Amino acid sequence: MDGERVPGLEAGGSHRLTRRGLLVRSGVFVGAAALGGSWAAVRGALAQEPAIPGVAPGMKVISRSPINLETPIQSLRTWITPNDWFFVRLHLPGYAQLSRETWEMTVDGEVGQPLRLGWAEVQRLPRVELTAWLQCAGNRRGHFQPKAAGGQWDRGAVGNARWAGVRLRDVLLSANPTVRAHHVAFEGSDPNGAAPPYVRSIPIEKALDPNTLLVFEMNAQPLPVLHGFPVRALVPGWVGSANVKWVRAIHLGAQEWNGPYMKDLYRINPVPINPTDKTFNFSQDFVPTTVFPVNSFFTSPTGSETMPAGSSAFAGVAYAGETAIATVEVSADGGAWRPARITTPGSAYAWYQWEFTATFAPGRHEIAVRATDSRGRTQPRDGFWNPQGYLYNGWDVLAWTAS
Amino acid sequence: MTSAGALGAGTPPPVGYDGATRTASLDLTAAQADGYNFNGYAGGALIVKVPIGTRVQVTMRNAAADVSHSALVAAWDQRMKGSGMTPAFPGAAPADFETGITSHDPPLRFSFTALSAGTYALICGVPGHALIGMWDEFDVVNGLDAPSVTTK
Repeated sequence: MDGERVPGLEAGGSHRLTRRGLLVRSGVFVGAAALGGSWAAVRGALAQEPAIPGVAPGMKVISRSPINLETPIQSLRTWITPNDWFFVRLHLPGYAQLSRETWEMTVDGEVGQPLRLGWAEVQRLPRVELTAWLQCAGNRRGHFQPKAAGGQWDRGAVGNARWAGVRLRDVLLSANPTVRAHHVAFEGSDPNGAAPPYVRSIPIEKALDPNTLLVFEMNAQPLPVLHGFPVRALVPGWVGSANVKWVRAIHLGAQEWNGPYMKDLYRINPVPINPTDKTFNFSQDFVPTTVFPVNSFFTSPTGSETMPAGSSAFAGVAYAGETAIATVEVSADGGAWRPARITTPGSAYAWYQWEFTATFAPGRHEIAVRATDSRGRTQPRDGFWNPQGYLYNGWDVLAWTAS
Repeated sequence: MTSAGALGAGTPPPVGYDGATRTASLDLTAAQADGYNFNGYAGGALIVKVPIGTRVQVTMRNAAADVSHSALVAAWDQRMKGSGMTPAFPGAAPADFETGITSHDPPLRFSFTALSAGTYALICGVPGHALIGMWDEFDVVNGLDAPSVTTK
């Protein structure tokens, strides 16, 4: 299925969460529109809610400025997520509009040979393709109890795409890194005004991994503007914030990047804390979010459909950071965990699709899914609570009434 | 490309004042239709002034359903911090200002005494939000008769 063009999907929806011992979905559809263009144009356009070129009109708007758009669950039913249905998470109000002709990327810091690369230089490097999911660190944040700070994403801040680009290691090694180069920071062209630029760093080991890329194609199309045209970082298996868009500079350094998007945001407590504890310091007491834990959720049904009693089919996706999925299991009405059938195998970077069929009598039912990765790590009942609400991977639980 | 700058296109928050008790009430609404803001103002476009010594009672609602916001009064330079803000005066922040509320939650309420004259920042305490412009100006002024709200 790699590289295939995916046909358009039905208009999407969203849902709310309720607390019934576990977080349970039920359906409340929300239609929303979102827009693009220069920021001035976007401001005006967003106020009128016309469609953004390149973004499906059924995307759920988490916020309009910065543009944060969640994929409705129905649009996650294909193995490849179409570009116009792929979630958008911008950090700053506005976005870069760049051209291949004028785009440049510098490589500096702890290197023996600083570089300045343009589009043509990047194209001369060996082309690499990789199917990989990309997920916002805050995906499923809305499932945390108690509430965690920030955008209350449901499950749609994730998608699976076929990426094409070049290996970051090919660029870095051309610059001859020094022995003090322990971290590699990507600087994006996100319009930042008076705020510091958007920069995230990753350890040199991950940067040199052959699957860590600088990508310029997404699903056989040029990278869409809202996804970082012309070039973004792809750090597969890691939090979305490391996958910096509109890369204009790569800084090699001895330490992780000292900026707010590294020191204040995307950090997590290394040990459990009491949610009422406000004494922590994100910069000093917390550590950067890196690789995602194992996760899975239902993509069908959404929880809003009326389901007849009898045989019912369920489907979903499963994925784990830098690791294959070993099993996906489903528990109906609190019963034993039973294996779901993997219908589309993934990889250490691409997600898996699965199905499960069971028979239900009329009445209210509840069904849960959990996945286990190839290292034996199983989704926990609840996500690991942290104040900024990252890396949620609790069981996904669906409740419905069979009629 | 454009940047996160001043935003001013809303209705200034109402400020009540009881001169007898020198108590001011400030009603804020966090919103994000055109950038994260308070009552339509961000990046310093809203200026609240109170006489020194005023007891300030703040109520903040969030119009946004899917993004949490909060409010606190902090030192002026904290408007550019990503996290770890601290209130400028005892009580000048709700207990859970780093988590914030959505439109589904009850309003945040906090009160404090504006003890020292100076220029302060009225900011959202949710990490990253002040950094992208969700801040306005809060001045504590000697010789002022009553609070005022202006915009620019």
